[in-house]
Amino acid sequence: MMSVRWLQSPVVPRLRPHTAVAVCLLVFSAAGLAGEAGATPPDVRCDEAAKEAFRSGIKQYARRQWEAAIPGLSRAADRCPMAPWIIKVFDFGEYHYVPFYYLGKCNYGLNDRDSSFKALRNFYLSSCLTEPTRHDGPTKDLDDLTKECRTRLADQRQLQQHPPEFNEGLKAFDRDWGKAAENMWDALQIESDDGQMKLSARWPDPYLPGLRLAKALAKLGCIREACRQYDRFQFKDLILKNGPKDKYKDERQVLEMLGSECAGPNRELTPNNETCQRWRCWLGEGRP
Amino acid sequence: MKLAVALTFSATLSAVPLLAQTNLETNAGVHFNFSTPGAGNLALGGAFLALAFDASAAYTNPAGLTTIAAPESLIEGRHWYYTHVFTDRGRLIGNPSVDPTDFDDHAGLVDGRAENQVTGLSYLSYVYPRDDWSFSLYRHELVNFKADFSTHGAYLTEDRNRSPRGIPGETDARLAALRNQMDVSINSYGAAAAYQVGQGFSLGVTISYYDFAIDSLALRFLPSLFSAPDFTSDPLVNFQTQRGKDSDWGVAAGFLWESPRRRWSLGGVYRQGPSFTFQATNDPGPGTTLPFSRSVQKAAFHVPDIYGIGLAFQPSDACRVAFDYDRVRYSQLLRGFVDIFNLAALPPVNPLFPTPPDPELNRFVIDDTGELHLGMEYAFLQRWPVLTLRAGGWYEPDHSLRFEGKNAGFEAVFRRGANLMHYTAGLGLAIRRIQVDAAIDHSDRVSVISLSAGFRY
Repeated sequence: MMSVRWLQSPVVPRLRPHTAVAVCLLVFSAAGLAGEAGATPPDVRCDEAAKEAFRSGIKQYARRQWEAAIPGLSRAADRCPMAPWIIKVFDFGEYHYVPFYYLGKCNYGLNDRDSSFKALRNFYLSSCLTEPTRHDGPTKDLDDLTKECRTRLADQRQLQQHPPEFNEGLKAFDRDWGKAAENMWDALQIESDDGQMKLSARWPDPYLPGLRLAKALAKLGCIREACRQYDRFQFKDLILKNGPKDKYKDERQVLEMLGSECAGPNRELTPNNETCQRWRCWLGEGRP
Repeated sequence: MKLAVALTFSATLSAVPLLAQTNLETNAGVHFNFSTPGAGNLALGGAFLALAFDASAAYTNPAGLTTIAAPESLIEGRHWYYTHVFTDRGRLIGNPSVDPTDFDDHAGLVDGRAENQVTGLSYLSYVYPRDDWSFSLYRHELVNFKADFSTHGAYLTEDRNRSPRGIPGETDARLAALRNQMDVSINSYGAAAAYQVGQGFSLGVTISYYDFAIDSLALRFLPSLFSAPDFTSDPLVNFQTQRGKDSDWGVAAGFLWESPRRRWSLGGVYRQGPSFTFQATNDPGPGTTLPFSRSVQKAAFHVPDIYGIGLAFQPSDACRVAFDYDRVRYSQLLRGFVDIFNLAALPPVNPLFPTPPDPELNRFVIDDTGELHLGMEYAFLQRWPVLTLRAGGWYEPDHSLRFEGKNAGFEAVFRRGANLMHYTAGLGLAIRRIQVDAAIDHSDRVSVISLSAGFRY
């Protein structure tokens, strides 16, 4: 996953008069979100390099070269997530600086399962970052695209087969919490928790990606997001009250850990890092 | 005399038969079989190349180690039932005696059968996954074989003259009666590493150190031409041994590809068989009437190389179907094939015919084979512990050492064998961190009962 340095106080060069309002909104929005998270000094690099990265990506985008467009757009989004720019691209006209929207469209255009997850995440980031508010023209189909992306992923559901992303997440568990969280989130886009046993190789694990996602978020230090996920997890009773003792032993421990964290004063403490802010977006925008 | 032994086995992912290859009669009667480790795999008919998702993958297909999510270990015990089929009595050509008291009373060759059983701790491994890598250490009992049987001695020609040595390569009317025993063991100690190269694609490699030991003795008694043998009173005219300990290294490499939805997977492996040497002797016995000098030779024992490819399909969370094809290069067994009797050096039986018989070593044949493995399993996910039933089978084409020359003795002993069909079944119980599996693999020549336990940490 690309590194997203967003919700930063952008130093916007050569601000155009007609974007002044948008910039103000952006700054307030960013400050507000960052404030919620306990702001840390942003690392803003909204400079010519960001513009050039965006420009290189958008050239490929205009040619419908989705895969080739992604690196440039990713670099732009990474360097400068938000800016009120309209970028002139030689031979291709002017493009609003909405890197997440275009990234999402590129991912969506690739039309494979993995890219669809990325597309959905980028659409959520686009929405969360208020790209449509700041640049309503090019992003007017964002909602439709998001809906289509969700539908596309839902269509991947297989009869009597849980999504393999759950198993991928299990593999990443205890090793790479970021990947584990993404895999569990991906699995949730295909199929919600159901508590049924699923074999990982020959080992049975209950299909509870929602709970696994909450634990992964907690391990990432995003307690607030973990608790939000914990709150919406609907199988607490199943785990705590039903079945043989060892059947949900691991899940009981996770519930106890999360319950303790979320009942305490740490619940609202979330570091102002891009990871947690990103997850706040994904959990908030896309309710699995 | 020259002892030629090339015992063969298969060191592979799938069950592969192992044969002691030599022109000593003992080696025509034994048939080793060893399968992929793990009771779960055995129950699937050994079709595991494209699954390779447990700690047995270190041996079976190391690329599969990347599919393991958490550290785990596997321990397995096996019990083998060996059925040895050998030329026991009867006659190769001609008609039997009309005298009802005569031992020469069967037209055609008669097979004898004998059974041996062996039990052992067959597999032990530990897997440690780390990021895109996985590592494993294992110990595998590749071969644990025992044979103990006797023959009565078949008639080979129309006439009733015979050699005083009873050695099949010589002009003879009746084979000697043999008492055979053979113990062979090969243990491998290996380290495996696997790396997930890309989405759903992994490569793995295994390096193994093999410990080999063989102890074989064939006692050759010369009964009266028309009587059944009496091993207490018949003269022991000579005996052959195959003994030694050796070690070697071997490598294996595999790949595993899984489709994005993990419904399909494809796996392949190449496994290099180790080679060992041992001492093979031919000695005159106390009852010999035609002395000869002791012969000591160095013989080879090759494990054939194996190539395999497998395909697996998972139509639902509960069901898996797997198919493997393994190419076993049994023809490698004939490399360095040695005449155990050293016929060329034996003093002539009849001074009027001083030319020694030709051992016709180039007329011994073993074919490479293609094995087919098929298995499926169904897990009752609603039950706790989760119950999994498995069934399968595999086809083992004949890979006997056979003789296609003119010598009647070798022709009678080294005959084409039967293709074998193995039927496998088993069940497993799994909870979150422990699983126990049991399996059986049955065929006419080798049957295996396996019990294994896996632990997840």
